[in-house]
Amino acid sequence: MNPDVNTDQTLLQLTQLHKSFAGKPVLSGVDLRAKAGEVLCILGPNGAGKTTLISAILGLIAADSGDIYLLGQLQQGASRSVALRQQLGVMLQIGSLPATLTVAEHCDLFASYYLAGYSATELVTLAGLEAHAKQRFGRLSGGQKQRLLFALALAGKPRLLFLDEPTLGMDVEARRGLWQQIRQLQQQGVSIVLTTHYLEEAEQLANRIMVLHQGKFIASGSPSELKALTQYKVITCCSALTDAALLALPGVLQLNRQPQGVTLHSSHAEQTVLALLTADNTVSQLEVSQVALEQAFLQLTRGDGTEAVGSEKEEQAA
Amino acid sequence: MKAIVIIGTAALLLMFFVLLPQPHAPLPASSAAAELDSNSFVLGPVRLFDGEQWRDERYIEVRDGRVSQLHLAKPDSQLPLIDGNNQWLIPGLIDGHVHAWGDALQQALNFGVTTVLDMFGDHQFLVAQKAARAGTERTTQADIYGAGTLVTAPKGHGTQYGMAIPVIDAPEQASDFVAQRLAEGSDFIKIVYTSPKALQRFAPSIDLATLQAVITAAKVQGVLAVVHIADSPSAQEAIAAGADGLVHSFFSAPVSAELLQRMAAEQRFIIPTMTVMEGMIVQQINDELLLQAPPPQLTPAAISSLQQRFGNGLIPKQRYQLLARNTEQMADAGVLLLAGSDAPNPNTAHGVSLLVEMVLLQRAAVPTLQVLQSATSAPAKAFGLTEVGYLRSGFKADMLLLSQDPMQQLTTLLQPAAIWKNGWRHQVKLPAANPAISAGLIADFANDVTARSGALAASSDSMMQGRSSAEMRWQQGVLQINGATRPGFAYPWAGVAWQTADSMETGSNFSGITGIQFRIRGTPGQYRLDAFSAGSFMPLSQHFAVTADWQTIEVPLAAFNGLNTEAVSMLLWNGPQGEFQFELDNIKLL
Amino acid sequence: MTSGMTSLAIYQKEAWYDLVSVWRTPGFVLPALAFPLVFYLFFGVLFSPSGSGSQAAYMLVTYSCFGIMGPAMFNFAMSIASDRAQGWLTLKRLSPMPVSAYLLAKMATSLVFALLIILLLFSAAALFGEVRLYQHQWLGLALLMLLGTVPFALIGLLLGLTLSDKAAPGVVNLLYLPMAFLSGLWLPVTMLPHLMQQLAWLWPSYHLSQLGLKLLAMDQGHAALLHLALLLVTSAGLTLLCLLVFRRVIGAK
Repeated sequence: MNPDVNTDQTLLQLTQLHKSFAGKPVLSGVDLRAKAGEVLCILGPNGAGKTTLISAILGLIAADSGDIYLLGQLQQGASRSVALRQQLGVMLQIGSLPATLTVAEHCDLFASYYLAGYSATELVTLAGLEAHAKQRFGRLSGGQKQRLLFALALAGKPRLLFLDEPTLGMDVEARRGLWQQIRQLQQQGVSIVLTTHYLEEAEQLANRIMVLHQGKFIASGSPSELKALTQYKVITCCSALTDAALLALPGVLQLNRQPQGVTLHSSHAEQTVLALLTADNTVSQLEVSQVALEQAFLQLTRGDGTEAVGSEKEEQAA
Repeated sequence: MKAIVIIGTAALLLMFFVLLPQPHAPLPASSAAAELDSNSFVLGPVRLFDGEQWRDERYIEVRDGRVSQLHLAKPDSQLPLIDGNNQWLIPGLIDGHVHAWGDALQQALNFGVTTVLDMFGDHQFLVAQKAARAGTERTTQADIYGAGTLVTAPKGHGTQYGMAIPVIDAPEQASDFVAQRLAEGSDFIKIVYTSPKALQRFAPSIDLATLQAVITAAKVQGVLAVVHIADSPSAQEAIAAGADGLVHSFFSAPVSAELLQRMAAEQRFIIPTMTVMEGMIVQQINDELLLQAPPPQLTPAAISSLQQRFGNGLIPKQRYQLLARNTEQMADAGVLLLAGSDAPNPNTAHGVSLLVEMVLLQRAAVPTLQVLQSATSAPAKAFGLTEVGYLRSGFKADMLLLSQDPMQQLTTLLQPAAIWKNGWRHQVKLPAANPAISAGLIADFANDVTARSGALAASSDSMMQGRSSAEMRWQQGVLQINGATRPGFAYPWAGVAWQTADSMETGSNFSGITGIQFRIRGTPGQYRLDAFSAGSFMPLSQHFAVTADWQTIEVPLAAFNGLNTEAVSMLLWNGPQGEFQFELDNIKLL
Repeated sequence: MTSGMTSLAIYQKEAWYDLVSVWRTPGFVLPALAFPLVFYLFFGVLFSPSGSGSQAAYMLVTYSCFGIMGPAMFNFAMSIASDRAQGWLTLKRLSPMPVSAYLLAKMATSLVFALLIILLLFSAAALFGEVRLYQHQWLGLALLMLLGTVPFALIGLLLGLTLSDKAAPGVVNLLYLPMAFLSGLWLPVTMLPHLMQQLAWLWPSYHLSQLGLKLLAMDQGHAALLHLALLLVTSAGLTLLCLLVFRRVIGAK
């Protein structure tokens, strides 16, 4: 494989990934593509299927159907070759490493797994835990633990890095430090798939945000594109007006005609509705709704607080 | 650095295992036990077979020569402890069928046979030895229980051995006959019986009515009646007549279902004596088990006896399979099986042949546990012995310590680690090596009839109630023998015998000798030179012709096929049929 | 693919750090080493009738067996259950570390503990119990007990794969202690009621201890091959079961 940074190189590709548990669909047709040097942020509320998606990609579970390409290779079932694992980095939300081993020992152990990775000392430096190298894992603060786990994910100098809620439990400063490291990795051409429910984190880091909702990506784009999308509203109705007339209405960006009526996307819904009613007094079954993305975001915002609390509790328990 | 740590650890481990303490010397329990001069002690830990079953108890407490108690753990006791080394302990063995005289009881004990049941022998011998069995005195011989004189018809089986014995020929005599036996000291009654239906009758037999009457008389007088049979119809009739047990099995026909059922249901027993029959038919077991490397306890006489064959070799080998099958079926049907050797008949010797018998029983597919019982609890049960056969409270401390598990390796019985008799550790006294005899002149009769070794004497079957006769005298530098060989005894003989050593039991070692040379003249005819191995009463014979003129005869020793050259007890020059006179001179060994 | 050297290093490091991490857990080390030793000194030496040393020798075998079972079952069951629960095992599985390195590391730790227990008990037996064995018996017993950790490691693995980290210690104890008792490791099996003696055949610990006793000619007299065969069959069965459960629980190939 070509080690040079090539931003056109697709390091991760999913097509029509399906997975259901006990007949209940969790992933229903997920498509995804991540390129070298790209930070892809998967955003979604609890239960959206983030964990299932990551598990399927990493081979912890087998997808029901669909194709997974990792570093250009089609993956079969739930097995990932050792050669592939040499080039992947993974940071999961895990409770604890063996508590009686020190930072340096954990780094030494993980460094030994990789052929062309960082040395143990380099990993300690990457984690920023030089001062705590001889400290046992069990004595580290939550943030320090996360930094160690992050460093271990980098042990093999991965080309493709998965970070599952990497800044959970970190204070603001530590979080910014980690963001800085992620940006550096991105510049080195590492493709990073990141799940988070911090909108801010996604905005700060992602080239592209993909919003997962009920097992599907309902939106994808740059942070700014997505932000704009959340302003739209959806108007459905039965109208006698032609498509051209409807598109001419103020604020209308998009039109879909269906047998039972039309769907309009509007950036200024109130003005559009006013104009519509003026132009066509036969309008029936008028309905104005928010886009799904916005619903998702709302849930995200709601979920933010509760999940954060839950995580802290978990950490204290650990 | 790492390598040093690894090597260092390995070295330390090695040192640890080297330093772990080992037993001082490979001392078997026997030598520890040998030091103990008492018949009260605790022995353990051992695996303990009590005659009936394997016990959980690991320690046996012996007081004054009797088992006092079995213990699961080492008892808190003042008695000396003998380390059983986790070996296997079983009761002293009981040979259910012997004919004992001489040193038979000593030979038996040397192999761990602590009790024998004599099935016909001199009643005076029985009475003399009986006293010893009552207590737990220190002794070098096995206990004996016996039938004394057997019950047989005139000229019947039992009369051929030369001892004058009373015989019976009518049912009316039964009661008195049994009473006489009991008065002589018999512990039980043994009867010889052959049915008129038997295909072969080797000797006259009492009739069924007499058999019935003797059995009844025995029962009335409160003793067991056991019957010698050799075929299936006789066995059926004896059992039907109420015999308590059969002292042989048979290979004339498969055992009938009816007999099996009856013997099992009515608790009759059988002593198959397979070893002696093996000697009639197969003749392999002694070579396999014993004679390659004879156990040191075996006397030369015993070895001769083990090598001796019935010799006709006419019985088809399949008969032995039939015998084994009969034995297996009896065991399977639940007939009480007793191990018995029939020593010292050909192919057997005292003591050791009981162990052979047990191996043969096992090879006949009798379960090993039952084999062990057949020489311990089974004979005790069958003959109502209350002192031996079990290692249970109150029984005599007659015991064998075995270094291997007899359930796995029955032949371990051949080399017991220790033998206790009456609670005393028995020291096996190994027989001294036979004195070797050198080639050269034995007797030239220049001045007298003395021989360089042993002695010369006239001999004839008159000593066995035969009708032959012989006399000898020194006459002008030669030995003159006058006599007559007449039919009357089964194996008539008359002539002069040279007993090669002071003891007939040991004989002399003829290993360095190739032949016998002598000068002879006399009544012309066919003469015979008989050679006897120690312990054997069946001679090996070579014939030669004698004329009225002196001639020198040479008989190579190898001509006596089967002679135990390490223990030649006697050479016997026999005259021809009828009246004769011959002169013998210059007897030499070559 | 990984070079031979590197994989060897992985196996070594994995084993070393597994041992280090267990060694730093006094709650594991102390009972694992002290229980068999104290029990042995108590029942095998102190309460043993002096003189023949044979009870001390018998108990040496049974308490060695008792001793080696513990670390094997506990290290596997508890640390695997806990590694699973904490996600540590998942993280390792996503790294290039071969699963066998992880399992062999646990096995190595069990063996080190087994060896320590053997050294302790042998020393106690030699110094205080007046046990005198031939060199081949000492060595044979040590080797047998080391090899004998395998079925118990497999039992531990099975429990570790199926139980939660909270349930594992309790369940292991619930299995370990009765199994030891019913196999005649505390009291000679012959002193147990008849029914229990028959049930003893179910437990690998019974067969292992009988094989050990066979070396000293103190066993119940069944064929060594039978015990060996039953141990092998049990181990094979457990291995199969572990593979099945491993696939289901962890989803590995």
